[in-house]
Amino acid sequence: MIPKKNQTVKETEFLNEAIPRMDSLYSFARRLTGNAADADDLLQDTYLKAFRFWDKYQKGTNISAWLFRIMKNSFINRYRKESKEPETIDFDEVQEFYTKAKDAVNNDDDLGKKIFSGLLDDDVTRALDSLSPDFKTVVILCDIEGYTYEEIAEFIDIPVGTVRSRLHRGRKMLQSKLFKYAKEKGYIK
Amino acid sequence: MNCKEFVELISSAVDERLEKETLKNFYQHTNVCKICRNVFELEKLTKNFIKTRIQSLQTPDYLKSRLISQIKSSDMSRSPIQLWRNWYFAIPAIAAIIIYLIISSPTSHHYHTCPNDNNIIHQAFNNFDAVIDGKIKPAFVTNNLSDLESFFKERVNYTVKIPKLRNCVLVGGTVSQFDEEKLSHVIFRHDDCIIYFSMADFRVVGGNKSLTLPQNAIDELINTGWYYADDHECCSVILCLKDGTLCIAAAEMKKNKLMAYLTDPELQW
Repeated sequence: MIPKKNQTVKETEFLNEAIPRMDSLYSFARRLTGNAADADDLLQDTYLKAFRFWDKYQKGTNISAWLFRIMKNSFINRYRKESKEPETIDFDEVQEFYTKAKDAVNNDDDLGKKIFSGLLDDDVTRALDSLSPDFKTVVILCDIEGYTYEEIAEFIDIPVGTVRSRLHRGRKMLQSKLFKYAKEKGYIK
Repeated sequence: MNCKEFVELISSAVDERLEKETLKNFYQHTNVCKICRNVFELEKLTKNFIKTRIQSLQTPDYLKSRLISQIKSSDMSRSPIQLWRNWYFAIPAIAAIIIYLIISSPTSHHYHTCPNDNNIIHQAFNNFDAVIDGKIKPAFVTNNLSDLESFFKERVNYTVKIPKLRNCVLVGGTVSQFDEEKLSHVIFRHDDCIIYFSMADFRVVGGNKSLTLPQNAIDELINTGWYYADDHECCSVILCLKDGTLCIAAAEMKKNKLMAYLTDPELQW
């Protein structure tokens, strides 16, 4: 695209390549930080940094991965220090959930449906927020944003095997949280 | 395939990443081990549940346009890098000075002595003083009404409609929290004075929970849609209802003049 009047080549390139990725980065930031104000700041940090270091981006490589890496570093450097630690997962709860799943297996094939049927969207968001950023990141990118393991591995710079194991553990933790909420609400005994 | 091998493949199976042969072995194991099958089914349900209950979000328009304009105005390739970096770090300070200059009134300001209690009218007077002093600054500086409305839409669970006041410039807005309730603040400038709006969910204020209103004010708002707070010297506060939202306007001007802004026949609100 020919730069418009008063628009530099760099600005044109950046606007054409980075702006179309903004929605998935915003969505990720919003889920990761858990609130709109921090998501706004995180997205702003990411885009201003990306623009500032645009000459470091290798043209033709995965622009989303480059932007996600900048966002991840911004989050670690700033928000993770400032924000309160996420609610820790009680591994006894996970154990209880699996014991329950095993016990129920012979007489209740619908345990999962019972857990999920009555829960509200807020319960799901609360359960997701309770995960630590490492687990939350892979669950958001895979289950909400629909990225592949390979893309996620590239975005956050970890091996594909680690993506897979974090996903499995992250989903297990989510199940145990949802199980706890369903129990509190009386959907299951 | 044993249970340990099966468990290691659950996520890949849920995400449909297994090769045909491995997948066949995987499903064969579910036929012989009910526990593993249940664990697999639960992970599949969890993924689908998350996917359907939590939607991917779009960037709000106000944020997208703000970022694009920030990028355009900060194009460092137009100037030497070092110079830009110096300015880059100076931006917050410069912005604070600009906001202070925009909202600080050149005329002397009369201070109120309202108690710092739950009464939202008292809070409006005190917040108005804080705006004039620059203690309450707009978190979002914009002169675009719809951008600011989008900003509030993301942050509060009641409708914030911003009036297009004649001959006034919108400066921006911010959100604060009192107990569990969120208050929206909107700042306009007209010549040498500030017109400040505080907004809150009337259901909360009218219910006299954490934020309160005197009963006569509630009654008058319900009956007429308007309420005039007791006059303070040189300063007027007018309350009105807009789509279930309590709007409190404050300005250092006579009551009639402030009312004229709010009831302007050409006012878009």
